[in-house]
Amino acid sequence: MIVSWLANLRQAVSSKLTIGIGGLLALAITSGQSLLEALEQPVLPALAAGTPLDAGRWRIVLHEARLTTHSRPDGSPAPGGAQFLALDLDIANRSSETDNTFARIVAVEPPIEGLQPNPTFWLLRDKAMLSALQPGLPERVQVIWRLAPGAKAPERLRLVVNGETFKPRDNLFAAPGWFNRKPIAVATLPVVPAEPKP
Amino acid sequence: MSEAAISPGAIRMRRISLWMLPLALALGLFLQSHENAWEWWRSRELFARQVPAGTAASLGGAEWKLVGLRRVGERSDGRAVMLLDMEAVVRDPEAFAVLPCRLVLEASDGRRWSPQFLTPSEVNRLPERRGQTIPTCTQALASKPQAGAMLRISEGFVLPGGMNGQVRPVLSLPTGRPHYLRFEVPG
Amino acid sequence: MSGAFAKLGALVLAAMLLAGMQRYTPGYAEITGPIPLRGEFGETLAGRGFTVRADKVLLARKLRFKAYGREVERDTGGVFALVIARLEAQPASITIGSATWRSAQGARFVASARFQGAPRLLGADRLEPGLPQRGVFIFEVPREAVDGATLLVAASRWPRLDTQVEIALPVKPDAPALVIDLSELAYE
Repeated sequence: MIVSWLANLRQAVSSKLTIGIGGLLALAITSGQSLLEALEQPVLPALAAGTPLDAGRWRIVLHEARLTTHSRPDGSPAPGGAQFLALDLDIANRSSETDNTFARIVAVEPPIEGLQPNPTFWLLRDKAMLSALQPGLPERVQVIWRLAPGAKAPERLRLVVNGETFKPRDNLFAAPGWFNRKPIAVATLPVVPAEPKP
Repeated sequence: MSEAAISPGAIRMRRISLWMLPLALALGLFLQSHENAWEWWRSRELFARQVPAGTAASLGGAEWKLVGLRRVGERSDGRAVMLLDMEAVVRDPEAFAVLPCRLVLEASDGRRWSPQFLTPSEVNRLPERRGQTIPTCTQALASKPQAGAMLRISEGFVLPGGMNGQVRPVLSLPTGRPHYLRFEVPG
Repeated sequence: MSGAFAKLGALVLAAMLLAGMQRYTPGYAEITGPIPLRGEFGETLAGRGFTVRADKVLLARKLRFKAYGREVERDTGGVFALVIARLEAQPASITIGSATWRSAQGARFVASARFQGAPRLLGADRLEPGLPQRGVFIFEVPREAVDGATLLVAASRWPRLDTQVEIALPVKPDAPALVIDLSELAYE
């Protein structure tokens, strides 16, 4: 009687111990991970103008940033003396699919006062709005931000380049896709002042 | 452990559990899918009601009547331009205002044409339409009319030439399904 | 002792089985993915909702067309691939929202959006039963994506449990035309 009771107790204790140790271990691992992530200083490699950067889903080359009075690459100056910040870059779509998510590639960080968000992407080949990038066909693109009237013209533009990684099977639908967008490089470009008015 | 004698009561419980299992599975399946089944039932066009020419029929919170279906022109490549006129008297404004409206022309072989935008020149030629804007079915539904309101509704269609007299208007509304109306064209 | 081994073995076996199932059973996206309908070039294929026939493939370095009263010329870093096809709705009016050029390597090129307003562009207008549309799909692809390509046509870009017509295209990357004027294409 007492022997079987002892055996039962032993089993109960051992199973509870297993569960407890497993739980503690999982907790320790996840907290350790988040701690590591919090500790890790985001020291991003610097990207120079004219150097290609492999950002997973894209390959980009940053060129020149300048102030302009043109709201689009083909147009005459915008009315009212509006100022724009234009950035030339090459983007190649490294994925296997036509892509229109290029607006995520670069972000102005820290934000510049007076620079309006959601810039327009122009395909310089067509001097028309960029609608999609075909895989394996790099394009020269111009990004144009509008500057609020009266805003101080920035002297330099600090850009964070975002990368994404490919997952052959995602966790929800087991479909291939690009995930884990995160900054992978940073570039600081001098802003070329606007050409003097003739 | 395995040597322990099993009491008759436990055996009975086991047997009952085994028989309850299919029941539980069926219940689970029902709980999982009854919403989908209901959705399917409410989104399908399953039962057609034939509406004789000149009469009105009730569907989705209104009385619907076919006023006319006629050929009003021909495009350069021989396609026929058809104009469908309907009348709706609103009975239940809440049910009536549920979008979208599906008003199509159906041929006897089951082919269906959805409404198309007609150029103003194709419609405005008609004397009784000059200076009038008659809403489409979706526009009428979206206007959220009061109970008792009488609405004129008009839709344009582009069909292959020679389909004249072979097509019948079919009306299906979200609040009316799985029932829908098939109108007989007078003449 | 042998009992412990058996337990360990069962555990390893179960883990292997689970890993294998996780890796090799088709995922949700595959199970509920497109239903392929493979056919020959020049053959009329009847999918759920529409029929399609691909008649001709042309390659060009430049394309010229008139849109909204303006002459437009487009060039490319690769090559323009044009597929002349015939589409018809069956049995009800439908919009064909997706034409894709799939290269032999598996890259998918969605029909180019650089030709808005060009004449007889397929996919722009809704299809009607009994009123077939003959027109052109335009793709922009690198030259190495030409050989062994397949045309995919479906109602949406990611059809779910719906037809995706797949037509192998008889096309070689050699000698693309220098320039093609879209208004002078022979469709019939």
